[in-house]
Amino acid sequence: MAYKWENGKIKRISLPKKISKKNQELLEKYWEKSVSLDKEFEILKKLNIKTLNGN
Amino acid sequence: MEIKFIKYQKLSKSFIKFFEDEFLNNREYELLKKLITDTNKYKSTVYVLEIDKKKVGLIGLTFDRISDSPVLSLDYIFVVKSYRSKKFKELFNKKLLEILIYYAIDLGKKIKEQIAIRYLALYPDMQDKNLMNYYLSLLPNSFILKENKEIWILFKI
Repeated sequence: MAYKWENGKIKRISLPKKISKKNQELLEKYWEKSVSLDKEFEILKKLNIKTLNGN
Repeated sequence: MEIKFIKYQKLSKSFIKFFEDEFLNNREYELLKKLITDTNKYKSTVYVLEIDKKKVGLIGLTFDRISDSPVLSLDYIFVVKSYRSKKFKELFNKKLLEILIYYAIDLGKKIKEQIAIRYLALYPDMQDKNLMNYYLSLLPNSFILKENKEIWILFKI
């Protein structure tokens, strides 16, 4: 989901439910390869961020 | 510097007042108002970033699907105007927007330990190319999905 501003109105939009066969294949290939952001997550750990419940 | 996130699944209407004078334009104000409404309808969960007890930004998260794969979707991301372009020494020279995105991915990783999810999805606001490139610089190795004339960025969690 995301918000889209269209003709002065806010629309809530979803990811496409169906995607083309080509995109599907590319997405599967992407899923199979590993992606890493180790450095960034090290930063998050060092910051020692707490999460509290506001409700 | 004390940094914390506060999770909200319900927000009072006056919540928006915390960000008074911190919107760039009316559009940002209206988008946050919509996020508050959707959060109160259990359509979104909001994580507010607080630094030294000041609310400086937030993300709205929800679940979505793409091609039968579960996705954590970033509904909305907001940084207060006065902190927007600043890099913080205490945050290892990162901007708040970066911290918010990394936090969303980190949350996704935690959720993945309990429930299967594959990606974090971002929809570049107004499909702005500069914003798109900025997201891609933060999340290299993302998948750019072009479908139905819309562009989404998917990042493997």
